[in-house]
Amino acid sequence: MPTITIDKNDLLELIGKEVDDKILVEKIPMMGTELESFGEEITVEIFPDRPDMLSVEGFALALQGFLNIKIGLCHFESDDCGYRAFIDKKVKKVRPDAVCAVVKDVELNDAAIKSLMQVQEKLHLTHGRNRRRVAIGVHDLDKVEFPVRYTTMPKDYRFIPLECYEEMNLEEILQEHKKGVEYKHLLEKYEEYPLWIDSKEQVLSMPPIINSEHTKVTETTKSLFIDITGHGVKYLEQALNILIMSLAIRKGKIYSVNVKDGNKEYVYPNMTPKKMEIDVNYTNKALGLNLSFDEISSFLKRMRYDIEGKEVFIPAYRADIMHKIDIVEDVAIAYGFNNFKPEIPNISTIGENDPFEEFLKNVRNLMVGFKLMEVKNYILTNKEDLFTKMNLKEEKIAEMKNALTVEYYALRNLLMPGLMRVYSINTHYEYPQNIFEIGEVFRIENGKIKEEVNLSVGICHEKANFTECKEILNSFFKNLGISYGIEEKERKCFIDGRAGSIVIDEKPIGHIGEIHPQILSIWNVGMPVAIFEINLNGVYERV
Amino acid sequence: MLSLHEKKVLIALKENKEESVENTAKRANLDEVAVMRAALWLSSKNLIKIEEKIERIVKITDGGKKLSTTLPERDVLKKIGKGIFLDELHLESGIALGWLKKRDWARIKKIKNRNFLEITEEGKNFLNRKTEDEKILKNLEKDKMNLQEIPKNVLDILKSRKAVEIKEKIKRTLILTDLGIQELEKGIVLKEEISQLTPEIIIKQLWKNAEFKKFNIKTDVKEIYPGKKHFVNQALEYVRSIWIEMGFKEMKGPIVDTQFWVFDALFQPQDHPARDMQDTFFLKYPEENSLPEKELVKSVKNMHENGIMEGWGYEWDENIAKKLILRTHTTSLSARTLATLKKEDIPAKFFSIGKVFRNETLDWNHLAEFYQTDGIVVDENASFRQLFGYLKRYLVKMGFKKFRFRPAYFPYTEPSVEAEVFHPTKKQWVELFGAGIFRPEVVVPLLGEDIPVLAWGPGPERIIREYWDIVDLRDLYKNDLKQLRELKLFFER
Repeated sequence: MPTITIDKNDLLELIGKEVDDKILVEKIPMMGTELESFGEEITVEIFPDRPDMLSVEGFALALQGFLNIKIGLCHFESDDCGYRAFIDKKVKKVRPDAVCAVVKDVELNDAAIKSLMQVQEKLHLTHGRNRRRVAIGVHDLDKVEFPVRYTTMPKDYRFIPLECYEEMNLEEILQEHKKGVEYKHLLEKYEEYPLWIDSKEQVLSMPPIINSEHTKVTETTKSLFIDITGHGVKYLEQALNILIMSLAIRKGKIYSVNVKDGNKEYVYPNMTPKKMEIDVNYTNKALGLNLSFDEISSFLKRMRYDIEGKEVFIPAYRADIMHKIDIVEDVAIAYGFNNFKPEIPNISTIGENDPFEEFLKNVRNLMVGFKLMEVKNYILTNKEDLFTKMNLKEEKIAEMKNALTVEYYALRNLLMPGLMRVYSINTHYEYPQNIFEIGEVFRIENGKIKEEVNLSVGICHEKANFTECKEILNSFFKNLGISYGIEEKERKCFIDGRAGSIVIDEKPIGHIGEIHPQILSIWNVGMPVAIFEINLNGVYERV
Repeated sequence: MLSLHEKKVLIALKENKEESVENTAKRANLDEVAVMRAALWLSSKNLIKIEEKIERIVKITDGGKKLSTTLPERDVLKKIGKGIFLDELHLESGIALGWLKKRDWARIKKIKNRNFLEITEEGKNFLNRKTEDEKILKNLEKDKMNLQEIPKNVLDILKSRKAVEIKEKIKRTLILTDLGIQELEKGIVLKEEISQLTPEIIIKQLWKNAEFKKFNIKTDVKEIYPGKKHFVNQALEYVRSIWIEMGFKEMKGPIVDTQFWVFDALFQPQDHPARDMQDTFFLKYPEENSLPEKELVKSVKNMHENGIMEGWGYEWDENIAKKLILRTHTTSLSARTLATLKKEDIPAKFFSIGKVFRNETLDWNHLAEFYQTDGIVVDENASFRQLFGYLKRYLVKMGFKKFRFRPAYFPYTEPSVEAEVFHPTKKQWVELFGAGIFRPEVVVPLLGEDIPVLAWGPGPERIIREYWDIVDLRDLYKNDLKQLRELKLFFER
């Protein structure tokens, strides 16, 4: 989850009140953000449903309310100054949606610039799904000649990208520029690439890759043009509203842009709050509380909502309110999670283990009674362990497409190789080493995965042999009251003539044998080993 | 009471009042180890004194044995005769020559610029006579000697030629004390002593005329190892018992599951970062499985696209939902269970314990597979406050005394909460597990209506780690037999 860093002094200035460190440390985690570290610089983790708090200003706005310093909805008004933008039909196939806005007279001090850069970066990463869904460009308004247009241009079209000294064509930017290389997967498949161009044919940006050098924002910049492009106007607007809220808090004046998209015209930003009816019963039932409408109202105001009549007004920068339950959560946060009196209701339900799990527990107890030590290997393993090192013929098993490690990419179909692995890493310890494992194994049957649980028992010491292993198997079945048989069956990992299939009602459910010395050498085990492995699902059916 | 061996040792000392251990052993007809053991007991009872003297023993080395057959200088001495040119001897080293000079057996003259070796009177003397060191070496070949038996100059020669080594040996003498003498005067009766009780002794009642040998019950015994359940399973059994006590019924389900059950049914949008390649294991083969009944799929699709009041606003793709993955949480089982519930089954409580997977590189703090346990309460009247009630009970059962709840975010719960416990040594709050009430967008497609479902999913690895003080998570599954043999059992805290 994303984290942001906040300058404590800047934060206190934004909140507009001195707050004791102790209170900040106590309250920040209770507001729905996680305090990672606290000092002159504060690091907080922001949950993905609250992109508005990725901005220091948004965080301050929320904290101001939560600390009861300033409550209620913060209004952001915008003026119309006749700014116009056009979305070209051509761009619809590439990166279809765009919104924009103008902000003037922003106080861009160090903290504000840092915050603006941070919120852009974090929005790109999370809300913007690494620029695929949303990409933001911020420009020096004085360099932009309106009306602007969002269009596409051929790959040989040229402009000077940000922090470069000479023109590059669009294809060069994609293949050679650092940002181009990083995000080219978002554009590569298209014939032409998207661009914002002003009325003097100056390029503003090449979304979602890079801005132009021409409209670069510097320390002296006071007024900004913001472009946002991507997929899904809803997400674009959410990002725009978050930026507008942040800049407005930095004293910026907001001006709307009239965006013409085909035959339709839109005005951005739209900071009008959404409305939802407050459902007192629903809230109380969900929370297990008995709050009055007024109490709920005052809690919501602390979460920076406004209440009018029976309706709650939701700030336009909030991206997480999808259902009235989301409002309920904010009531709970304002109420304080630790003010809830825990209660367990008096409802009667009966606790019950899964019967197969109960069976496994009994088997485990029995194995321990045979003085066997239980081991636990990973389910994920590799074909070398399963087949090559056991001299077994490779069969189809479940494999991963994208495993990060070469050692763990396939699901085991047998436990036995895991037992050999245990023996191979414990050769320096005392013998006898008599062990067992109960665990999930995965086979492919008619193209589908079959998940089952196997039991494997291994005995290993100077005199370990088939007979001793069979004694355990025999006693195991006796204790379950099941009759079984052993049929001769050659298997490459066992010594020929000392191996067999374990059979119940003529159906094979496992195997037993003395491990062939060749296999022992492969695993570097210098002691005889005898193993049996059976399918416990098969056994359970007979119990 | 004296043991049989103690009595025998006392009697052996009776005649001379003091004896070496060796002699005592011969007299008592015991081995030396048994004598010493008895002697220590006797000395602890002040019946004898044990005197220790260090003896230095000289032993011949392998090199000494070679020298004993013939010394290199004697070899040359025999060849000198009336004198010989040195180069005619073809000596490999100067050792022989050095010793010839040192012993004054020969001298060198220059004749026509060649070295000529000539025997001395002393040399003639020793042609047929052995030196002292040769004699001693011969003796040493037969048996070791006491240091005192060898003159110092001879010993120096032998030491310098690495022909002998000196070993220290403690020689013990057992001496009767006055108390011991008194004990002997009282008269000692030897009675048969029983060490291991045998069937024969019991049946024939031989014990009636014998005494039981006293065992030193404080002696250390050999270590043996029991069969044991794996310690992780011991802890899981306990976790299971907490759920059962609280009236939860177990749910089971597949480890390899479709994304539908792991993500889509839990209202996680298909472009959610948690579904990205890096966190989730996708199956190469088989790649997908079928989806559940059409109604449910349609309803989940509708939730993603339109929600109840608002959805994620994208086009939900059935083909993504079909893809098989290794489940990243056992909450998939909660979704599956809810889908099978009937109205009359409610209220109901369920739990699960099972493996979950994260596609991560293994290190001390990350495993690719680990356990998760999940619980849900499905009840028309369930509330957030009740969730705190369950969580509190659960935390107390897990042995935590100081905990708090803070707001959290999970895609499928609202409100969401994180249970944190106060770490006494780190002196800070640490996350323990997440909880919440399933979102209506999750519940409605599965249950058909919006009934509150409380849910929480603690990972048991944390208590396992703390209980056994395991820092490196990989140590949970390293299968080191020493660790498995020695780790203490899991007890309720």
